[in-house]
Amino acid sequence: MWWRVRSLRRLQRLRRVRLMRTLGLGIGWRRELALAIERREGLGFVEVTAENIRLDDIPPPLTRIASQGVPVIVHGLSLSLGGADRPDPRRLDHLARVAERLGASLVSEHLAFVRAEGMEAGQLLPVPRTREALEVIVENVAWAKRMLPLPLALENIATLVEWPGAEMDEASFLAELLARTDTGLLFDVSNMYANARNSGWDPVLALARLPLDRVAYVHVAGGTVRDDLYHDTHAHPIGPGPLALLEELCSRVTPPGVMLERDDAFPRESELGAELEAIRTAVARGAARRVRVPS
Amino acid sequence: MDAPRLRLASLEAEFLRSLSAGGPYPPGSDLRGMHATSQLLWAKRLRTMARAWPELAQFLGNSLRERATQVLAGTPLPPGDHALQDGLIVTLHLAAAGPIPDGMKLRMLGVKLRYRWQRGRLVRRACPAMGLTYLRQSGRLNCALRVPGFQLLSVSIRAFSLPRSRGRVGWGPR
Repeated sequence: MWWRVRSLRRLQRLRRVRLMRTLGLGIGWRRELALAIERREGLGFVEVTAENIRLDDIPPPLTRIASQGVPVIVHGLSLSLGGADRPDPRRLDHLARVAERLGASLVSEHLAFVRAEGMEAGQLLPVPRTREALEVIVENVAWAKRMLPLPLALENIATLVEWPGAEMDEASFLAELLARTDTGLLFDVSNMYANARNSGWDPVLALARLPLDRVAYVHVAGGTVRDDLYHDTHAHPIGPGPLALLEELCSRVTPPGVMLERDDAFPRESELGAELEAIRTAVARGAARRVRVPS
Repeated sequence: MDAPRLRLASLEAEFLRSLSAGGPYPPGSDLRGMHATSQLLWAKRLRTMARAWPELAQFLGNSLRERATQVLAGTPLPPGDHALQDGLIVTLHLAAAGPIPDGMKLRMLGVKLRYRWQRGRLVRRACPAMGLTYLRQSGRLNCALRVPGFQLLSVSIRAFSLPRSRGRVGWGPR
């Protein structure tokens, strides 16, 4: 009966939400870091990039981690939810299948476009922040959510360029999208720090406009300055700017999980450990600052 | 597609086209940001190509960016495995211009047996394929057979020196 299927799906979603609330400290799984990740004690969760996973050849270290009960989140790169085309059912199906194989609790994607009129970008690109574009993206996200068997979180991206003629700021656009689609937020503090620094606005003020109760988990990554622009490279140690914003976030809300993203110039295990500890410290400092209002 | 989607498609296509070409950028654009993003896209394209073709990256060394730009500049990023296709196109051009290491020739053969050209992009072969390549450095003739779903079967035998043909890119995009 259809109502039994609906009840079962609701129970499964609740179980995943409970899992999400206890994620802790995590890391993006990369082959180059597989051994270090497997040896890391007390790892809260791992995030796996769906496009890097072949269902007929899942890396054994990843299978081992998943079988040990470490929560897995599946992260997509190519849905192009910010694009004009509806999300491709084949890409959605791949996301769902990878999630099922790894027992994932959540899938995430980006508020970005990666293709247009048959051309590929090879990179996450920002969307024009207009009301008309928002209507299209709301439809895309709603459609993707109907096709996916588990919750979806949307990530804010880093961009070196702003579209002309923006009708809304980044935080307001994201907040309205999440509210209208009832979607979780994968909050990337480094991306927000980068955009704020490059465009000259205050990321702490932007935090106040974001629905922090929707934060499903958090990304933190390193970057560098080139030609006076901050590049979110995922190939450098995390700097003080993103860590300060992470602390600020944690002074306002307890995110279910916070993870390190490292995609290149892979460090030694000891340095990786130091990066994770820096994240843990920022989270703890933020939590310590949170003022409890007496009831 | 409804009117808002069509307008969004047009805007985003113009944005992407201008980034891929390195300009001109749409009116009112943040020029510094567009230029930086254009450079970022290009650097990423070359980086992923180099990762997919480590033999190519090793062969060209510091001249990878220059040589790849000569071949690929102005070409749109192909759909699918663009890194594989970009690397193959650069390798084909290098092979037509002069000798290339045996490792690159073997890699090219492997790609030819797994993929075919279809309207300017590489698509996986559904049928078995066989190919030959002469490995100049080791003086061997390598013959390989691939049947979908099975490992590549490869045999190499000592061969006499063969003259090199010049000026043809050979198995290129169609």
